[in-house]
Amino acid sequence: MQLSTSLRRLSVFLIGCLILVAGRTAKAQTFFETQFSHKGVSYVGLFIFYDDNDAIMRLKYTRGLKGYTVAEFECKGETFTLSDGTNGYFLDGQNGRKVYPEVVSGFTAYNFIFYKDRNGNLGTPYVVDDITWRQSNSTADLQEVTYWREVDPSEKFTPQYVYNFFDKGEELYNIMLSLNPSNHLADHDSGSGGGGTSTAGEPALPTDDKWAVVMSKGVSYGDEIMRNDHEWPDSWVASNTASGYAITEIAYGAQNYVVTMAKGTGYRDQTHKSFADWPSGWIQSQWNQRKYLTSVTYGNGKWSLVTSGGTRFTDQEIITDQHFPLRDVSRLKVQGYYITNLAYGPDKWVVVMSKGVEYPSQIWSVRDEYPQEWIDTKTGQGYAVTEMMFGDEEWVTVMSKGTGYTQTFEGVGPYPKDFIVKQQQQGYRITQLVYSGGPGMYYGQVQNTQETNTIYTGNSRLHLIMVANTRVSDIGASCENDKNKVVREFENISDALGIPLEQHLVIEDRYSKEILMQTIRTINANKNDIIVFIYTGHGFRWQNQVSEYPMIDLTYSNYQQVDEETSMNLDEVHDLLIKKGARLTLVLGDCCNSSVGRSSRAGASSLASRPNERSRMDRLRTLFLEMEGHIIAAAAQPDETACGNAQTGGYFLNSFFSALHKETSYLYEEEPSWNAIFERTMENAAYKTQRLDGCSPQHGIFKSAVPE
Amino acid sequence: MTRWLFLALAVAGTYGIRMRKQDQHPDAFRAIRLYTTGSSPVPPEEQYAAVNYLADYPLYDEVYLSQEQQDSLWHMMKSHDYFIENLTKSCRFQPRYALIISHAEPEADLNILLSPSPCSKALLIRQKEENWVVVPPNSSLETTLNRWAGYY
Repeated sequence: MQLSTSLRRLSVFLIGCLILVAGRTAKAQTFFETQFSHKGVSYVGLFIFYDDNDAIMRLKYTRGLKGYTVAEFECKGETFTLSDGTNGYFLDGQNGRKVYPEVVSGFTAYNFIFYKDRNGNLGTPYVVDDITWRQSNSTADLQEVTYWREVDPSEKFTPQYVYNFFDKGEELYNIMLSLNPSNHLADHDSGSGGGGTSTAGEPALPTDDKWAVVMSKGVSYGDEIMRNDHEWPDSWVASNTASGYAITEIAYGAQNYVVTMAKGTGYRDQTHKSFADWPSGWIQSQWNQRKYLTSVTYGNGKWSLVTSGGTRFTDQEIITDQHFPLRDVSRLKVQGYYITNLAYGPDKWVVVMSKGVEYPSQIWSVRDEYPQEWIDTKTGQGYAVTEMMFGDEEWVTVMSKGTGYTQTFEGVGPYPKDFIVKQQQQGYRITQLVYSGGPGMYYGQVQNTQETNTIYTGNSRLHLIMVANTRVSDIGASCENDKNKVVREFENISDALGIPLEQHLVIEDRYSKEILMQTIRTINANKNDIIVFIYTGHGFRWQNQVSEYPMIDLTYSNYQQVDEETSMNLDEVHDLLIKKGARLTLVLGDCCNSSVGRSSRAGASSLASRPNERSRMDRLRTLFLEMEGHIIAAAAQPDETACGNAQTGGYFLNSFFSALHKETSYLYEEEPSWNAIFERTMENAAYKTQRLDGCSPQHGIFKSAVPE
Repeated sequence: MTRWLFLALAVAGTYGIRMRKQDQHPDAFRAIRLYTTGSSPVPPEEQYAAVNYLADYPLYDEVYLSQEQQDSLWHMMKSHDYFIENLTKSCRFQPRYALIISHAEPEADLNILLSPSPCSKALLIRQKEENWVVVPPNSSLETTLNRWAGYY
């Protein structure tokens, strides 16, 4: 009997569903609104989805004499596939309670069932209350909701809208409002001289208590106009430059750039440019053209710089340091330089000092509170504020004599639109606008003992080593999906953080231990780099293995024997990568950790040790650019298997990215933590696999040397 | 029984993936032969003419099954969800058993290579396709085959 030849290695026919939840879990804190009727009552719901294991629904409804009511229930999601090919997604409502007008338990949760259509899209869901569902289990009780649609919090979350579902005293109320930068929108029609600038469509700034403004009378320039926007207002700047205005001040706060322009400054040939890293080379090239830095700020993950010709400056020096560089400022002051600009970005003060301005005296103050008293005292002595910045929990204020300014101040408080407009009308112009915190503002917290003046987090590189057994017949498709997802995710992270990504793919005909070792050898990491190693493929453990982490199987075909030459312990990879000296090293293995049924010929193992666009940039930066240490994590504990889906990849890696997205979401206020991410990864993967027919629950293991 | 299972039962009357309809036709089933196999495949150029192979895995000993055992096995496979499609298990496939299921119509023949727990999965081989599936760990199918083949 020779059965093999005619049947061997035909294309694998994978039947089943496309589990659409992958698309959902890839987006943290997604919001949906739905409406449905049940027993004559109309419900409108706001659904907040973190991941399959963590979602809540708020329902508002009005019923008879009981009046306006808001209820809440938790939801857990699962995909399903039926033998007839039907598949979809089931949201299981649990633990219902009323939350308004008073908090009482006893609300019956609802379940939602989404079917996938012919094109692979989830259709409008069907809804059924939990009690009916338990009692009847009949499709006859399912009814289609009126609508189910995703909502964009940056547009939809007005106070009126959010108040439908959350009381003003609830923590989530304010957090949700913070997702919409246009809250408290007002007509920001600032302009001192009616220079013909329209500010229609300009988002207004949140009225949080973070702004400070210094305005001066006696400045040499004329009309002043302002504009704020989520992105740098290129066309507005361009058109006003053409009309004779020049940029005099830029600030970033509350997810808005605020740009001030004025006429009669004497500036010419202004250039604005943004950079992820501090652009020393570009500044030098501008100096070579006799253009000097006149404005600088950090926001939206970028340094924004403005250089100008026609200034009074004759020379310029720029000091960058983790702490405000008092010593260097003093040194340059002696040489005739004066502070003309201050900025604070990721873990870095930028102090611009220039020659050519002649102040009889310049003094500065570094304080942890807004220095109103000091300003008042020094104003009385003839000084005027010429620079001010908040960073690293400190206020740095620079005051100079001989300016001829008369000044007025609005201390830390809501964005002072009315104040600015009123003062502009009385001849005052913006000298300094400072934002002192909140989303969009970066706070540096890194402890760094180095004393050199050019410590940047901006020079990090992200090394991604992706090892995926994409060719093996049984799980190759799943590994391919894992590989694509990992590369996509880290490309996004790299783009968002503005750091270079160096990809090393050990896949297809490069899938071997030799290539992996060669790849590890070629990694040349700096002390500020990040190394991420991710393995997806077969995993196992020797019967006599000591390490609790799995062996990764580096054979791409079952025809190859697995032995010491074709396998490697994940912990050994971890050890080798730690020695590269990167600031942060993550090693993840999505593979089984079950016994292969024989011992290693080498005896006891000598291989000692195997989560957006809606992400908050500050949290992502903290995780990737500030934290240091190393973590190793595996999908399965010893003697456990790791499961995945042919279409969406391994449950472990899916859970990891879901957890990462959640940790960087707007709705999380705790300090970002890698340990929390991995704890959540393990919980999610266990949850997803505990009710899977065909798989045992996988609990995973990790060890972390990243301080909390 | 979880509510989730209720859902499946309510919507489709069944849940999970059983043998396909063409594999379940009672009249088509003629015989089931059970073999123990090697756990690693042998490249075609290295195969011995005297040895039979299924998908390049050597078939070692045939475990004789009575008609009653064959009927029982057939019934068991028809009535349980042993073969879960669309799921993957990230461990090396090392089969222990081969089931050669012949039908009256040869195109309906089904051969199965079965890897035991913990890495319980199977390769379903039909005339025109192969299909990787995951098998629940320590299933009654595996337990029965272990018992008949003398693995305890």
